[in-house]
Amino acid sequence: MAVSLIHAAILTVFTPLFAGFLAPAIGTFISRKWVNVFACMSSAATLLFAVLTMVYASSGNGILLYRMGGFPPPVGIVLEVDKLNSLIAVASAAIILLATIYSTEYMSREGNLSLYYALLLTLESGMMGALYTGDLFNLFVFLELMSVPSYALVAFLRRSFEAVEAGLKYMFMSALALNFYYFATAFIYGAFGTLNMADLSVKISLHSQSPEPLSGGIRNIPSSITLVLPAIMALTLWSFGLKSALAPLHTWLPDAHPAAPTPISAVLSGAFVKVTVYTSIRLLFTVFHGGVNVIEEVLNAVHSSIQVVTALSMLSMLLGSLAMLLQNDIKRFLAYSTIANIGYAFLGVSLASESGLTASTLHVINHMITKALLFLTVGCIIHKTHIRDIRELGGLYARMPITATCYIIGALSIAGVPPLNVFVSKLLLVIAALEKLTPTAIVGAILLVVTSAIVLAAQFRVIHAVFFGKLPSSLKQVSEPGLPMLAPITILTASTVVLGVYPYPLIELASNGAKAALDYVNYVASAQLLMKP
Amino acid sequence: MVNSINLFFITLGYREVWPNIPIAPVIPHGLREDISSYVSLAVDPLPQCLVLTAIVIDMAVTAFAVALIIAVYRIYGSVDERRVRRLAG
Repeated sequence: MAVSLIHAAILTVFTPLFAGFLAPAIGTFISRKWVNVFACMSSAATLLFAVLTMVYASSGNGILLYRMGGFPPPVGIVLEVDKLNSLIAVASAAIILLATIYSTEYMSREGNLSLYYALLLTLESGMMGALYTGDLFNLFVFLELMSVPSYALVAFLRRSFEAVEAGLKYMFMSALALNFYYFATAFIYGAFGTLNMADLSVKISLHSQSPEPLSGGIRNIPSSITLVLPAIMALTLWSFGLKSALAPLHTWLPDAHPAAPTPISAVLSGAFVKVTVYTSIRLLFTVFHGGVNVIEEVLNAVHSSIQVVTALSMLSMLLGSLAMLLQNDIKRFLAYSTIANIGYAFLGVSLASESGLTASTLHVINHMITKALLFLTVGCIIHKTHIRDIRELGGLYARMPITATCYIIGALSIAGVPPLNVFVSKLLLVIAALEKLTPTAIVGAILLVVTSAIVLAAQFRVIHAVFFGKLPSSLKQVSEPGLPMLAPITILTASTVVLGVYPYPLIELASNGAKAALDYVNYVASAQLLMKP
Repeated sequence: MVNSINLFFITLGYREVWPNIPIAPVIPHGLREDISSYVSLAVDPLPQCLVLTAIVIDMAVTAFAVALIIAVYRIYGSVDERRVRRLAG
């Protein structure tokens, strides 16, 4: 049983990859209808494997290690799954499954359905791989694997100028970010002679009981080599910040996310940008120990990068929420809300404490659920009315009561109204910031509350404009969408409410994840175990 | 740009074994003397593997970029960046 369960980790990555390659074949040789069924089944299988991986990873010492091809680290590539990344992976896989079910109706008017599913499943494979991997270069490969399908999906409606132009913009910026990350891996390999996360963690450690590095080499690295550390931190955080749309690097997101088909907007805004939030946590707190017990250059680099992240997260929340007030395109409106929420998640990261990371992880999961809910309900409206401008909509509550109720619950949740799920994570963020009690943390907490109020005002404006007021005569025939679209939004609304009223199991999981992120000793010890044949 | 990073990466793995010339990281016949000359002369094989991966990925990205630019040309009738800016930004 244990043998079969450890393979769940690699199956989570490879099931959607192979399914992605099979989908066009099924579309060509069998029929369009079966592609829908096949895509839903493969996403469901991925979710199942992700849950099995999580169950296995939370047993024993809390870390699952999978050697790809049986080669031991540091030469071989490992998947290193702990309580943090398995939790985020399960949530992402669930969002992608719901988006796939939703797509069966939403995309039914489009041609190229099998190509669409091929891209979506490959994107899922890249996301799972980037979350699970324990190797910095392998992380680059998986980041590319998830990004290239996302460029294609943003530009999927290739006859509209918006999709193509946004896709081009997104592709150039994102490819630049990934090249910078590749440059950073070159620096890391040159300076430390290893790319394995656990091994790198040992090499920079000053911990008295830390084991010997796996890749051999010197213990006390001369400072002439560690001078590259600021460059490494700057390049990696710049590229992760761009991929997760942190404030001055956000400019691609309000174009790219609305231009994509709506289920893809939900996946990109909900799950995709969170992968690099996770990798930032992993890099700062597991690999670089959060600046504790490390050589001095690492300590300086980590501290200055945490300061930068603090400033940028505040800028993100302010800019995202203020820009929400000005938007008339409903999908752009939600895209700016994503920027604000990435700011909240990075605020938790920048507090560099266990409670901050717990709040950040919880906010990542809660925002994933709620943002997917908002995009999918907006997708119902767009699917039925073909209008995205809120000035042309109105009075839809009478025609689409279920969709309207789901949207209103999601909108209140994302603005932080109790007792809904995002309120819980925002509350934990404020508490964590006040525990820290530094001036910047208090400013962060105040900004969080103020921007939440701004978001609430912006959401009220949209709710009023879209669901109440006068129904335009052209929209008299609008009706609720079918079950494949209503079922995902109902499930997401239910989880928004349930996780708000009874959040304790999820808080427990998030806090275990935060502990796992900070427990670099255990992370390294598990990698060392694998050296034994 | 990727090519310059690739070159940088390859240079990291190069080693100076004057007066001999470093050899490619290949073990031709698996004999004992092959392995000893490999250890003393060969350049670091890992950056070469990584660069090979990066070249393949870059090819995919470039191919997709060209395809997208063709789509832009079909819509705008131009690839002049001053004309391809209808989005709000």
